[in-house]
Amino acid sequence: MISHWGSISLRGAPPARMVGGAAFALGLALCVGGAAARASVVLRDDLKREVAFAEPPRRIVSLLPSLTETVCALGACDRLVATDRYSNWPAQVGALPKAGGIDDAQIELIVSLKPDLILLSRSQRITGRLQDLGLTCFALNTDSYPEIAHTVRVIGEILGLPERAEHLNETISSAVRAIGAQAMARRHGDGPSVYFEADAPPYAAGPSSFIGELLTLLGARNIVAADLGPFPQLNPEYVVRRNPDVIFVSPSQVMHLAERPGWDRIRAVKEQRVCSFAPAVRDSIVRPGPRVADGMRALAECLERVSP
Amino acid sequence: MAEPAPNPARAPVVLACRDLSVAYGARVVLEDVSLDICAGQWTAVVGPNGSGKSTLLRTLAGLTKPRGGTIHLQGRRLSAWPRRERARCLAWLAQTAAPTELTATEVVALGRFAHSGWWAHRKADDDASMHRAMLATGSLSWAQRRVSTLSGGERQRVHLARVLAVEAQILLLDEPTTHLDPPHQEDVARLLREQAHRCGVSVVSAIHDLSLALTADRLIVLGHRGVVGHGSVPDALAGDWLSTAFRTPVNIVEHDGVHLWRPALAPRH
Amino acid sequence: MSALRPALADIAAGRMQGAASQRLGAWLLCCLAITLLLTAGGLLIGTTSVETSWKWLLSPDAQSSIVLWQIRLPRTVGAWFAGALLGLAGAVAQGVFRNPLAEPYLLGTASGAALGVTVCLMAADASIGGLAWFGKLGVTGAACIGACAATLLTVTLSRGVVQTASLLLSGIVTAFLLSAVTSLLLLTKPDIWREMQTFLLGSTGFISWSSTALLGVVFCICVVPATLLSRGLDALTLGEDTAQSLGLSLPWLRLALLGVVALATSTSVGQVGIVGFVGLIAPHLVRETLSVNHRQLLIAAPLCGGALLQAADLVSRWIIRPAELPVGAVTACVGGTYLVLLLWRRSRDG
Repeated sequence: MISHWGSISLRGAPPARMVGGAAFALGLALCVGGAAARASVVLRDDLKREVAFAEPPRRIVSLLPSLTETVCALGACDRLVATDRYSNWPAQVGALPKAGGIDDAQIELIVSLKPDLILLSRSQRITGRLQDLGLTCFALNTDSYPEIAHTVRVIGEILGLPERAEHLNETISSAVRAIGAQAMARRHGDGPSVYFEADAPPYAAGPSSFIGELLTLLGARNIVAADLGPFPQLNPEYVVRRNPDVIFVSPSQVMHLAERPGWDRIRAVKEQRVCSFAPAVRDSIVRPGPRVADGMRALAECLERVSP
Repeated sequence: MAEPAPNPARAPVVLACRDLSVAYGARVVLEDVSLDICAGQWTAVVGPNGSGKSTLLRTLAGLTKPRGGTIHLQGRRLSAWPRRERARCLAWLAQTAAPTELTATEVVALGRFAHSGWWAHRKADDDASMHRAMLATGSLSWAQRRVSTLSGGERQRVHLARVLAVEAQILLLDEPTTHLDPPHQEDVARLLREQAHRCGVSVVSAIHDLSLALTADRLIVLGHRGVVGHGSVPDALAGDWLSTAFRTPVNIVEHDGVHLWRPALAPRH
Repeated sequence: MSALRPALADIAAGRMQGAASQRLGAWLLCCLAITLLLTAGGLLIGTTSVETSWKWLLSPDAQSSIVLWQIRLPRTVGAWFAGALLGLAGAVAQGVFRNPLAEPYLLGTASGAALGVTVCLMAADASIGGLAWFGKLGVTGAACIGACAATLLTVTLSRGVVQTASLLLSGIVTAFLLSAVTSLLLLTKPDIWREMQTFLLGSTGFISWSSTALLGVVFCICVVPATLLSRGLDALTLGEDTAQSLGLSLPWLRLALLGVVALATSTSVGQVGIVGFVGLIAPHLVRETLSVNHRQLLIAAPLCGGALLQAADLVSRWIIRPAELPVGAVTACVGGTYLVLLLWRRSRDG
């Protein structure tokens, strides 16, 4: 590009030479400017800090499973040097060293791997310590469905793969739309009322949680009212009174549902309309990340199977 | 043989209380007690269980707040005395000593706290008074041993030495002769008398043993709810205060100038 | 008479008998030696093998320097100071409460720290106007303030420092009260529970040089008044009434000593979380091996506590390396075992 402009400018007449010279300078400026625009990407993370990247990081430590999955979904899995102990997808991250959880990360291990970027969610304690030691941290919180697109975009920019990020977002949103449309088309009437149990003493997933959003997209009605918050601890009596059509629980609890006082009268229990997922599948449902479409598919499939 | 007591009428009053009333919650222990403690005298406080001997001593030492009445120490109200000065003037011995891991010397050294202060920079006179106190109570031989390893009597003598080391003008001793064998009880009685007559210290001690109590210069006899009488031993015997206080005939016999309590062997009725 | 003269000389010199003072000196040297050994161990043990660490020491490069001098050394030294603070607080608490089972967290500091951490994590998330500054304090500052506030609440509930028994009781009440408040707050935001729990389980992994400096400064600030007031603690062993009759001002003494306990414990909780048993065991270990009065105890117990926490830190780094155990779990195991041994020995001796 530069030599092109240069050769034209050197051979032209004096006015053409001046134009050529100007064009050369402009071209140079554009290229340098272009390189400069790539040279320093400044992004704002979820802790409201401005982080500058002179070049795309090559050695990344990810302390959150959803961020690990995003990096790998963008095809940069080889840039990961360590993950947290809960990251388990794709299979190749299993071979990476584990640096603890978000709250008890092993600082020494992380430092000895010489990373140039550490991805984590908002935790002040470890962020402060790592920054004191001169490492770059970037905090990203993904709690809900819309934030997935944002996270993918930001990570794409950091990695220098913005086109792939856009492509991934497109794939995800179209898949989600398709599954949602399919589910809506198949449902008759109002849609099944569901109760999703996130944890043992009945912690339900409310409509404002990530799982709740997916269920709403699938046309299901959550028995939990929106104002109870994302993960309210319910009085078991509430579930009995609302009489959901479908119940989602963990596999270990499926056998014991009928033993809970009064639960044998719930329609879902009486008619065996209970969904449970293996841990690997469950991960894709509860983690807001690039596998959201897979999770949604699993939910849709089960709903279709057991709905009245 | 006991030395004759100095004339009480001429001795100055060091500790006086007027209309003293002490109560623990709803239970009134002392009511309207008025007493004078004179310098250079050994006063024994006797009375039945629960009559308030310990309470009286604690209140006079300033450890219990009275519900009513006043206490004057050397003419000044007790509450007006600064803490350290009062501790130099008044020494109190508890009835039961709490177990402690300190050595005997350290316990006696604590008696000098009011003089030497927090940093325990001990001067020559601190050491001298400690030595005197331990010599007088015969506790020098176990000076370096832990108090918890001593017998009851040995421990009592260490605590007595601590009280003596304060070199206070007034000693308030609650049962100083507990755990002691008869020879040592004699020693303590002799020691207290010496302190009073030769050093001019006012000693007030609550004593269970009536015979020992009757060797004191003055008696305070407490009954239920108040003072039955206070005065010299002959006055106490003449007024038969002891029988009134104990609500049962108390036989006192005199033998060789010494008053002794003779327990009645026959059943009471 | 001749038998009395050496006794007088002993008293005059204020010296302990030869054997006892020799024992104390030997014990202190031993403790110092162990501390130095543990510090060296702290440099060598971590995510790499001991040989690698040794090579790093001999031929340092930029990266290993960071690991050795910016991560491992401050961690070990900071652990020593935190343990020393806990040992000091435990010795003072046992003296003030005249109870060998007293420990630094008796005044409700643990629950106060938990509440502080919870509020801080919630404030950091929600940026509620008035609480935003609290969130900016960071978890360490919030834990420290929470612990201090809990102590204040305990002292207020017991209406000043009138009676030791009521202090103990109000400490328990405060602990329950603040735990209840913490649980209620967690219901509104359950996802911070994990972070709070991990903080409270105790971890020496976040200690930097600035943390170590803070711990060191607070240690110096606490040890001075404690040793100055140690004679008061000695007097307290004779009973509260006797101590008062000796001229001690009990309320002020207790206030000052509890202030030392509160400051020492709060600072330690802020930096390393809640590490149990160190404050309880360190004074016991000193008293089992030595006969000391309180001045000596308040110097020996911190040394013992520091070495204990250093050792626990090393164990937590070593056992499942390169992963780590929470240091509070290690101290609980060791401490619990020691207490069981103690009880067994006491019952055997009758």
